[in-house]
Amino acid sequence: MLRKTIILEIILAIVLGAVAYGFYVDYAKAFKENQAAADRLAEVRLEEAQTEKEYRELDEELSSLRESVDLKILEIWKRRVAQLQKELE
Amino acid sequence: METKSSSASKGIRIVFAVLLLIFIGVSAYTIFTMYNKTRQFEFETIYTSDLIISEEKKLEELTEKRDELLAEKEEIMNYGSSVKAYHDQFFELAKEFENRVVNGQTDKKIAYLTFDDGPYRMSYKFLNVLDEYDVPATFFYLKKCEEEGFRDEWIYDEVYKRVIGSGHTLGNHTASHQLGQGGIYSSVERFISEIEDNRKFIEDRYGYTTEVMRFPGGSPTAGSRYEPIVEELRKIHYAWVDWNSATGDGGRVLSPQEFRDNVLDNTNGIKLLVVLMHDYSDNTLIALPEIIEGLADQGYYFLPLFYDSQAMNR
Repeated sequence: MLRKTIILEIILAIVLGAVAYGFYVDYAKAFKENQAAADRLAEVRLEEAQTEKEYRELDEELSSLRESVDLKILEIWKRRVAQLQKELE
Repeated sequence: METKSSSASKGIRIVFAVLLLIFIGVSAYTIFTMYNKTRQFEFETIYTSDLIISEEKKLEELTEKRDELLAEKEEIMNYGSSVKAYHDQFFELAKEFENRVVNGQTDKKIAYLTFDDGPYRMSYKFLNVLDEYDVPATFFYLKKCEEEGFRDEWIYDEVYKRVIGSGHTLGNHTASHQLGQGGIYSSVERFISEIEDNRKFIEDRYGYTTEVMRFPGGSPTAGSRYEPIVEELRKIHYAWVDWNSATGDGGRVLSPQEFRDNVLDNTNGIKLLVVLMHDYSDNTLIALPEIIEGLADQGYYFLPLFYDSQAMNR
């Protein structure tokens, strides 16, 4: 009786081991994907923070540059070029 | 002895069986935990992927905005060359447009609004009207100021700056406009020195180089000196223009309606219409909006004069 129980338990242990391995493979895959997604998110956020910093610095720099240069004439020529191009179409 | 050995073997088997049972239990627990953790990771990955998509979109928008600022910065840093590039492109397009008009490739016609003898205190009001209609014009100005004391007023420089800064053409109309005996047409040298004097005045004071001019009183006023004068004008790279339309505001005072009708009723389908006006006349100022609207209704497109224009003589 004891011998039968042990044999049954061995079979059960082997089956469970195989199942556990299968689950482990899934787990490892999910973990890897999760890690990759988290890394990508961190990367995008870092890039976003850098771009935002650059944007703010540029905006600040430009506000003083805009004051130092009268952009009106540039806008006028741009507009006139666009109008004439439209007329020539 | 045999009974003792059998009893020990049984004990070992029981221990083994119990250990196996513990292993099975631990395995089952591990499987359960891994299953839960895997689901959790999968859920987190989906959530993170959605976050990545929205963050990437935000990044893309931010990058676009930053690139726009970068382009603006570059444009400001290269301000002078940017203005020149658009200025040159405009006049290249204007030449092409003139060709199409002259060759009948379009129904459109071109009107060049010109104002002589300024600057005047009133010039600002004319510039306001032109700005309002977004119409470029040409101002043939003198070094000599017609209005007493005007040159000492701050608005004098502002008129010049605004003409140049609004994309109008500033033309040379000699320094003094002095007609009659001993005047600008008394010799070729006198005339050219008047042109050079005014050119230098504009260049030194406003940093603007003008290449277009109009003879005071029109080119026929030069009489027999016309040919030698234009020969000299060619040498100093000047193009000149008269007019084929006028409000008549240089003569007797007429009503704004008459000034308007003088222009609008006499266009006669002229393809390149050069309209003579003066920016000292109240009635011209009143008539100007209707002149602009009327010419636009007749299919006229407004251009400033320029050296290579087909309306110019070279």
